[in-house]
This record gives sequence, C-alpha cells and structure tokens, in this order.
Amino acid sequence: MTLLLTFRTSTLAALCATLVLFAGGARAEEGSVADSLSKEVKEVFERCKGAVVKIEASDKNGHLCGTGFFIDPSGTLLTSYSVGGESRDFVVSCQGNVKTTARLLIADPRAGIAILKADNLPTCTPFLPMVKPASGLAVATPVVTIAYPMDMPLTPSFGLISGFDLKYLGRFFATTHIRASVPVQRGQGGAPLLNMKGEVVGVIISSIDNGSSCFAIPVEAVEKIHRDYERYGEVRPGWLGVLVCATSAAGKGSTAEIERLEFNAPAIKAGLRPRDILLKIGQISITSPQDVLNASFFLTAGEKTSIVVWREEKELTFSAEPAERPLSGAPIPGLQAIPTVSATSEDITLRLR
Amino acid sequence: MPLDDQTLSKLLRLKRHEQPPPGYFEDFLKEYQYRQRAELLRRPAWRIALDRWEAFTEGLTLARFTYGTASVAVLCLAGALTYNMLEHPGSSVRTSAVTLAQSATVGKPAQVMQVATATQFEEGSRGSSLTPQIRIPDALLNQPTVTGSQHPRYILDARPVSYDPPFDF
Repeated sequence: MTLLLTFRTSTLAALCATLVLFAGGARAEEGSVADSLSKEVKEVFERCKGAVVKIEASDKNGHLCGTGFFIDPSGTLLTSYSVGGESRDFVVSCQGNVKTTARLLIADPRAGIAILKADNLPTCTPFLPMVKPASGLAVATPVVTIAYPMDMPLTPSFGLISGFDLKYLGRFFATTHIRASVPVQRGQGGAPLLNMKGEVVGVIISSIDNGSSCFAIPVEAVEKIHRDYERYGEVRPGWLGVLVCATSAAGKGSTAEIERLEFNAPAIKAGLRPRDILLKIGQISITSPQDVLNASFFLTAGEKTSIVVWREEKELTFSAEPAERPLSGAPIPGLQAIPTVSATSEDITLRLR
Repeated sequence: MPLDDQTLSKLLRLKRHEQPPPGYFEDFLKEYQYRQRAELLRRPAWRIALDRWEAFTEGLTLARFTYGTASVAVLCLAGALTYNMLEHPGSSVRTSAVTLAQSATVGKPAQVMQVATATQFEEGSRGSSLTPQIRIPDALLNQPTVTGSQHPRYILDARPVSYDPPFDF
C-alpha cells in the first residue's frame, strides 16, 4: 500500500514537473523569437543607417523635408518624386550632422522616384546595395525601413510584405508596387525598404490608410530608371503600338489578347497579329491584360525586346524594337488602326470602300 | 368777361345738379398723394436729399460743424481704403490667408502638413484627380515665413501616382 502511494505521488510530481518545464520552455522560446527579431532589426538598422539621409529642399510651395539614401559610393541618392522631382536647393544631412548640397539628376513621375547627386561628400560614403531581382521576394517576407519621420531622428520600422499590387482604388499604377505592412509617417517618403540582409527591395513612396501600411516602388523599376539615365540621360519609355483586351479563351494560361495593332508601329513590324495571345514580354510572364501594363513599364525605346505569343496552338517568339510613345492625342502620320478582332467582314468591307 | 348776377345764378343752378363720377371721393386721397409725389419728383434728387438732410439736422441738438467734420472723416477713410486696395490688389485676402496659416501652423501643424502634402501630390500626379480634393490658395502656400522657416512640409504621399489607361503599350 505504501509502495502504491509512493508510486502515485512520484508519478504526479513527475507530471507536474514536465508541465512546468514545458510551459517554461514555451515561454522561453516565445521570448527568444521576439529577441531574435529585435536583434535582427537592430542589426539591419546599425548596418544601414549611415547610408540614409534627410533631404531638405524648396519647391514652389515652400520648404519640404523627406528621406533618401545612397545607392553607390559616389554619392548617388535615391528618393521619391514628391521629395526631389520638382524641388531645388537640396541640402542633404548625413549621419553625424554632415551637411552637403545635392542636385537633381533625373526624376520620373510615372514611377514616383527621383535620383539626386550629392556634392562634396567624404570618401567612402556608405551606400545600400540593391537586392537581386531574382531573389524571390514574396508575401510575408519581413522588411525594415529606416527613415526620418517628421523632425525626429533616424527611426527603424518593421513589417511584412503584404502584397504586390498593380492597382489601388480602381486606378492602375505604372508598374507593380510593393505593399508592406510597415507603419509610416510624413517625412518618410523616399526611404529605403530593406530586407533582413540590409538590401534595398523598394523605395517608399506613399502611405496607405493614414500610415498603417505603405506602398513602395520595387527595385526593378528603380533600376530601369537608373539604367535609362546612365545610357541615355533621360527616361525612355518604349511603345509597341498594341492594344490588348481580355479574352475568355485563354491560351496557355494567358487571357491577354492583342485586340488591335497600329500600322507602321513596332509591333506590326515585328510580326505580331491581332488575336495573338501574349505570353511573355521581355522577362515578364503575362497572364492577364494587367500584366501587360507592368511589362510595358520596362520597355525602353530603341532597345530590342522579345515577345512570346500563342498563335494557332503554337508558341512563337518575336523580336521587337519599341519606339518612343507618340504624344497623346496627336495624330500619327500615315497611321490607321487595323480592324479590331471584333470587327465583322462587313465592317471591314465598308471601311475599305 | 365778368359775370352778372343773373348769369351767375343761372350757372349755379346749372352746377347744382352736377355730381362727381362714382368713386371720386373714395379715390380722392390716393389721387392727391399721387399728384403730390409726382410734383415732388420733378425736382432733382440732390435737392430732395438736401431737403431731407436739412429736415433731419433741424431736429438734432449738436452743432452743425460736428456733422460736417464726421462726414469729411468718413470720406477720407473710404478714400484711403480704396487707394490701398488699388495699390495692393488682394492684400486683404493675403492678410487673411496669412492669419489663417499662422493660426493653423501654430495650433495644428499636422493638418497644415497634411494639406500641403496632398496638394503637392495632386500636382505631382499630372493633373489626374487622384487625391482628396483639397485646395489651398497659392497665396497661403507661398508664404515662406509661415510654412517655410518654422515647419517644413514632411513628405509622404497619400497614395501613389496612378492612371486610368487603356491596355495599350
């Protein structure tokens, strides 16, 4: 009997000890996750803060203040269009209260970014590396931003990538934007959006819903603008002369059908036809007409690009050289629209007469 | 021709049976006032005004030069204001705008910055109606001493630049 009692008591004690250990372990693990997260954010902040600057400038509405960051050791600065696009008298404040002037190199209102050049910088200016485009940025990837909110000092914010959006409230962006659940405040326009390795994945350009989240222009779009500037000294969006519509008869997983081509436009010279289903433009796969908007952002006038289409159950690849987009509303000499795919033969006959 | 007694008696007999038209006495007062007003309006307006002014001042006890002095002062003030407005058109608007901006900047800086940011974004969006329809006068925005030195506009757009394009490229 005594033995039985002793056995029961020891079993109960062991069970309690196990429970206590288990609970304590869980709590310890929970603490370690938060600590680990905090440690990583702190590391990114310490590593990258030297490259983030406060940009003060003037425009026709007065004095403005935003954030920017160096993207190379020669003092090239990246910021948002609202901060640098239409401003002058730039003063860049680096870490350690070093102030210097800067000038505007190029600005693109479509993308919402501006590139500046700082003067008289000390040697070995810290800069932030750009993430490789193929690095596989995905939803729920943790991101950090470092910026100057209002008149406060350099501040880190942490969040997750919430999505990749091409439109917001019924209107389309020029290219896909990163939506991140990073809280932002005024003054943080032009700040870098960094992954946990301290690489730039985007540039913050706007808030969403009073600053609870933000939109950032992805680094691929930034590089396109930067590349255009280095090669041509200006942004050169390309134009092929294709009008796309959505089709219910999806070919090879794409619903983006060529509805119309312009005579003498680069697309028709390349061999594209109405009713072709677009599968790929450059390196960007197409599954819907909306993808075409994103892909067309990366076209550069004068630079050949490949276009993959689905035609008569075959996948065909064409090479097209985009031209500069004609001015909106201006008539293109000698150009008429090719009949649309929805036009009947009777319509075409009537037009020819 | 003087009337003799006989002729006058005959005329009186004859007139005794005359009656005014129906409603004559009812309209008599109205007709009288109408004619009186018509007679009055034959005179120039300044003369009427002067008469009225004289009638008004007769009932007052202050010395006449007092009213004259007050009238001259009012005329001088009106002249000075008119000259100021012609020399500096919109000055009164600007003054009120600066006052508004100063009070807003001191009291609620955040709201001023929000408006400025939204306006700038609207301009940055190349004329498309993307932003809240907030407009503040240029006179207010161009005051460097108000928004420039004390509180710069801290930039962060309310929404990205967006378009409503056809799907062409």
